[in-house]
Amino acid sequence: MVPHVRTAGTRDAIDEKGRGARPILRPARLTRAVRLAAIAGTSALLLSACGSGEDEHASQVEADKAATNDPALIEKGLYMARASDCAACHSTEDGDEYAGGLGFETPVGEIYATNITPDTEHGIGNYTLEEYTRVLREGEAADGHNLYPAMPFPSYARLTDEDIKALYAWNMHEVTPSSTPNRESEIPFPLNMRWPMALWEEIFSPLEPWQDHEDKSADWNRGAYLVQGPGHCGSCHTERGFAFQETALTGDEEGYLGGAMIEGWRAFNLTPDMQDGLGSWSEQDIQTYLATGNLKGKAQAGGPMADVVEHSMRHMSEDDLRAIAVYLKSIPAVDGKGEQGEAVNDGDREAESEPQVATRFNQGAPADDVLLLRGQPLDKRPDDEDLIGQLTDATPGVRLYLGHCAMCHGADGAGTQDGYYPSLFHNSVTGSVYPDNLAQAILNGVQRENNGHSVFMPAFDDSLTDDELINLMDYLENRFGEGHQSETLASPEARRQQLSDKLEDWRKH
Amino acid sequence: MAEESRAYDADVIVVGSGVAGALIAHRLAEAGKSVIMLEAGPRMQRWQIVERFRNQANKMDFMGPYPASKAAPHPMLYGENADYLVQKGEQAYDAQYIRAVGGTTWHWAASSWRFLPSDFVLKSEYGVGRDWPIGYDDLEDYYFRAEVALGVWGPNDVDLGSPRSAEYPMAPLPLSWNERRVSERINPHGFDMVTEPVARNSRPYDERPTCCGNNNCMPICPIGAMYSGIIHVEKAERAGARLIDNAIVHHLESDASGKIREVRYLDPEGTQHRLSAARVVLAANGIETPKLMQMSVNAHTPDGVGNQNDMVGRHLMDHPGTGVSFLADEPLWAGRGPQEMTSIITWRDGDFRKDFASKKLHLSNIARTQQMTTEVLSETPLRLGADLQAQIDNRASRYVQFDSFHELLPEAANRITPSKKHDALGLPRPEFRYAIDDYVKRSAAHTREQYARIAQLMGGTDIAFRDEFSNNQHICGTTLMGDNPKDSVVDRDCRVHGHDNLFVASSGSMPTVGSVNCTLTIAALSLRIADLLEQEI
Repeated sequence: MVPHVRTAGTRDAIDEKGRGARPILRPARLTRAVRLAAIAGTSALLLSACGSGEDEHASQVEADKAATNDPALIEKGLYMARASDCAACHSTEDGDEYAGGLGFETPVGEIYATNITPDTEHGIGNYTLEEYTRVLREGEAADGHNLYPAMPFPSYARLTDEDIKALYAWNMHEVTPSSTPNRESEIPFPLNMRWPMALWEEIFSPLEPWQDHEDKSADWNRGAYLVQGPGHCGSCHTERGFAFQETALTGDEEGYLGGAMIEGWRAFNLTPDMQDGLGSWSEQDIQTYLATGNLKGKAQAGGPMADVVEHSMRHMSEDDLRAIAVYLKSIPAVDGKGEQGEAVNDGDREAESEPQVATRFNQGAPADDVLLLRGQPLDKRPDDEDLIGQLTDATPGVRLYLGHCAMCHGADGAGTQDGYYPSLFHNSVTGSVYPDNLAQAILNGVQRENNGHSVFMPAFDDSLTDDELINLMDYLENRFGEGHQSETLASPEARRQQLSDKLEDWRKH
Repeated sequence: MAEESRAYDADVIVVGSGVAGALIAHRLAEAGKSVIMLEAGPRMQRWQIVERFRNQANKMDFMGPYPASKAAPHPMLYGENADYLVQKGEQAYDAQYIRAVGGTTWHWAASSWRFLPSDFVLKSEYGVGRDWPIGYDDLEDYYFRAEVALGVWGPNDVDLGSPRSAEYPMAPLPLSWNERRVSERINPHGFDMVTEPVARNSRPYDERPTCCGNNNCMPICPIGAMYSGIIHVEKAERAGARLIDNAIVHHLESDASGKIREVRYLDPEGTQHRLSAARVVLAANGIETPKLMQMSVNAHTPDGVGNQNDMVGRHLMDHPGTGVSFLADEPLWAGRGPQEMTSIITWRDGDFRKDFASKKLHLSNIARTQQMTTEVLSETPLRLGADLQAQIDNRASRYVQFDSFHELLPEAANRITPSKKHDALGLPRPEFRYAIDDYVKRSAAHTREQYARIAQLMGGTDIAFRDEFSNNQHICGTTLMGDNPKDSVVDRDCRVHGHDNLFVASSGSMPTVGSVNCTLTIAALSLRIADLLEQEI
């Protein structure tokens, strides 16, 4: 599935506003919705609006709007909208805010996020608070049609009445109405039928509005609410089942936040598992990461998570980020098992005799290859013009590293002292058994607005051949990740083959 | 028109893939035209250029990372192509340029100045040189579009003398300590040292990263924070333009009406290929372009294409430069950030232009560690250990260097012609007859006085003047623009007189050289040509 590029193509030079990188944003949950449509789908049953109650309905809308026109409530609603990251799906860079339109190609047609501005014709301006509540918690729109679970209503089901009221206040009074029409999904009949979604909701969306657990701390309760509910972390970080449902919606269920693949990226294990998860992170570490997207010497947010940090998490209060950290530290550790088998790094063999446990955050060491290579001519025969530009396929990864990467990340891979250019050793992306995020960062770059400054790594998809990418990744993994031969992989050749097998998928994203 | 274009291989053939050709190819491809770019040189990859630079001994050899192709050589500092340019004049025209996909902006310092309005009317204002057939106002919009296309930062709070309709696309990075201190110390004494506009990212822009201060803009920006022609080559190719590399155009075949019917090129094996297009754009710099035009002899063009009045290749200009270096009385540590961020613009314009050349002076911010290390190690007795380190630190931190551009006037006698000496494919090498006039020399004497004042203001010692003129690679005038075909090569639209479907996109079309780097003007003229071609095709 290829998400639409959010920026319009630059038609001519004057259009080049220089907004920076290609959009990396992938509201991932939208994308697999169609799979569900394919699973379900038999006949349509759309409820028609009830004519006799129209006046009553209209006055209820007016009453609900009037009752929520309160600056404090609106302010709180904005905060909750950020906590829920509504913008991720419902805003596009070129369109009006919250006017929807973000589209996704799927094998059976395109689907589009909808206009959620308070426009009465194209948006949700005619929603009563009750209807608003129902669409958030149950995925049922005011006209009765059921949403695809691209909309994370199984998580939003946790939202409290109070927070939904605040969201309603913000949505109706603060968001600028936009007359951008909704784009019909291009999914053909019969796959486009919505009624089976109601059944889906019955089966796979069991959560009730949040109620505090009296035996837990206030922080824990707040954190659990934010993570399970508005934050809908599990939408990406929990494995999906056969019907696209999250296999666990709370920490009481097995596998919750144990990590999953999403849009060609690895949404990492957020549980306290020492090797695969965040077991080695302090609560402060989690806070720092969510607030900035950068935990120096451990992990940096890229891809979809960069968007989450930029649009959502960095706007959270310190108290809420701490609460999230407290909750994440409390959930059962998931022993990371991915498609590549046990999540065990080479370093673990040493770890048996050392007190420190090998994690994906503490692999690798500074490189010194530059000492051997510097002064060695790049070209086999630098005077031979016939060889110019013809060395690529056989080029060792270390050369590619020095030529492509070293001028920012350093010849030794240590990055910069201020952490703007991250260290490549002691880095989650090189230290993980999952090569996906390393490949994605290289191919698509990294872009993150980060509290007043831009974090940016250019995309290298056009400047690396397949062989070069594998050579480079091979070098990065072995040099800065201590090698990723998990127990199921016997040889470096097998790893190369594994990378090679995934290349097509990576290039697509 | 549709019928006509079916008879051609493309709507447009662009000869050359530097910033000029690439901007045009990109614009036209985006507009749905079929475009073929012919580049004499090979493709080069940034990372390979970077690694060649990192592994070469002489870091000031800016051509080293760009090995010359055998079939389409360019001037090198060392080796067999060191004398590729044939010098016949009293002054050598030591141009450096790159024949490779992307062109010479692979290595430049990215200075992106606009000309002054008075630069376009030098003759009528000051009685010297020539007037352009177009004025500043005709180019202002294109200047801005060029700034957006290239990604230019500049000072919005300083009047640089070129009126603007919009702010710079980016704000400048902060000045380095070196540049800040020098401007603080000299500006109160009648110098206008300003932050110069450059095509370099101070924030992520156009999918390219922010400058991270590798301080080797020349010979290669390793991360693409600095603009280079390759950016628009790649954009053009993504938009559908077709680029053929190692395609050495050697002949433009025109018919009796003056139309260019064929563009003929050799591949590196010497095999000839022929292509045709509704329009042909020559964008192969101010040397190879007039050389090609003069080489294109047939019954209809016995003196070469566009050369019926013997104007092609004449009026060769550049910015003859002098310099000064000294050790300041305080550590300045040149080398942090880009290689150059400031210029002194006090003498870009004024009544003095009646008598001597306008000019721009600029402070180098190149790290001098290697240079000073070499110097210290060449001295006797040999210093070692902490003494050696201290000497290197002391000199590298205090080293100051200024250079300058002087405006050379267009003189018909300064010219480039195809030489009888040939390259490996048997094609003529460029031959130069060039001299520097008193107009520049008088100005250079004045510049020397300013250098001395600056050195004094900075408490300078070990002052060394470089009085010998050096070339600054601003190859102007050789296909110059004018309304009268008798004394110019292209018209105000950059269309070659007498050849309706032939255009020149090059600094060669600039009738005067001004006092600033010419790339932004090349880009503006190129976008203007692209606009015209989009309408015509």
